[in-house]
Amino acid sequence: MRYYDSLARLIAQFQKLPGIGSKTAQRLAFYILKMPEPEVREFAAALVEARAKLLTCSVCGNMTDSDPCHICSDPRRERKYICVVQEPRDVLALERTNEYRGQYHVLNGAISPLDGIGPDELNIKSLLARIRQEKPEEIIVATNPNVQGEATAMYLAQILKPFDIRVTRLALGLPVGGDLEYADEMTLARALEGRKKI
Amino acid sequence: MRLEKHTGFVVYGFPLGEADQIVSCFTSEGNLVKFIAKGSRKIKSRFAASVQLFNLAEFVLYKSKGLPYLRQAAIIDSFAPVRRDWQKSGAAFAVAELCRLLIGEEAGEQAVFRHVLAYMLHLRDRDYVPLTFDAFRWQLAAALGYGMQTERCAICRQAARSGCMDWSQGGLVCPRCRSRTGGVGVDVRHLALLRTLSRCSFAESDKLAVNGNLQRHCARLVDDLIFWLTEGKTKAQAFRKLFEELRCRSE
Repeated sequence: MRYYDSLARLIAQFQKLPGIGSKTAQRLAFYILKMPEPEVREFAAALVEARAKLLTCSVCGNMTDSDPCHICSDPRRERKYICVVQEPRDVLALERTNEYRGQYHVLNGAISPLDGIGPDELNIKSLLARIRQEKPEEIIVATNPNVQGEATAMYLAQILKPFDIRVTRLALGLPVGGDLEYADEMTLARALEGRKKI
Repeated sequence: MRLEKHTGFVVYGFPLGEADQIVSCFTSEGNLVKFIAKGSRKIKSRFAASVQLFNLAEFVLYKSKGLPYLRQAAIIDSFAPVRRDWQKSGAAFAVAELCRLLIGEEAGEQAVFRHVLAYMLHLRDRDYVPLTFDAFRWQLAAALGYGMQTERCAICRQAARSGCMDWSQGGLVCPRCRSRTGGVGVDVRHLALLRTLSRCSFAESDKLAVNGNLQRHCARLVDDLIFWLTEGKTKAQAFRKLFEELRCRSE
């Protein structure tokens, strides 16, 4: 079936989003068409505004609408800790804990040799410059607990050796609320490795 | 019966949707099998650990329309020492990439699977040795039917002690036939080392005493062969070198 040009264009735009196929794109496009016009305008304005206003923090690489971001410019945050994460949404996840009051550094990815992503593609040079300048006491590597995240953590540990700085990794192990019998051997082994005195 | 069981290595994982993954697995039948692991990127997923790269695991798949879905998984070996060492990780990434690029879905390359398994076990239990990795790749090419001539000229079939390696011709090309072709130059020492690599076990190649220049030239030859076999699609090879350089710098 051939759509009107404007509708076809809208469907094509939705299809550009990750995980959206032609069927879902059609459904979303028709849903938009059924929305009241003011809501559609607000939706479109929010998209344009977010794209125009959001920028990358020149200090930590996080997404922000002011440079430096609210975390980097907050004087109450502890300067002696830098938590290195893969993506801006990892900052949001860690902030939700209300446990961490230090700084962040966003790598914007992880080393993934199979996808051709190496250290040069990540926000690592600015991390080294920041460590030289701010001289933190500890770097907390909070990359994902998968092979790519581990490779990134190992790489960071290696290049941070000359700084004589404490480099730590987030603990790996059992999720809260799970039953031990359902845990796989890799997770259990990591949990045993990372056990602590009570 | 719509359930099927496979034992194999996870060689690639591609994110799908919010929390799923398309996983490529090099199975003991010598084929590349792709399946969907639903929710495997969630932190509490029961499949998250088993579909991690390099894992040797048993997978139960449910066949439906399109790609099969993962129903059960049991890890046989997670190669933990390989994951903890970044030089070994570099080599394992390259192994996974070679399996993904060189093995077809209906390949039936059981000998290649045994070869990969032997190298991964070796990598798990012993130190990473670059020459052994070259031996692995050289033997892998042979197991896939790309065994290269190192004693006789691949064109005129005369015995030769030097010349160049032209992969499209089948290996060594003697100086007389060389004008007809291109390739990387080799002398008697390079050819002797390649012959040794093609027949020695991984434990034996760990112990080979080879001077640095000879080893580097040999590594270049094997890199070149892999580049030719994969039509230049390899990415992980470059990172393995980066890891090796960093190791040298830290030493």
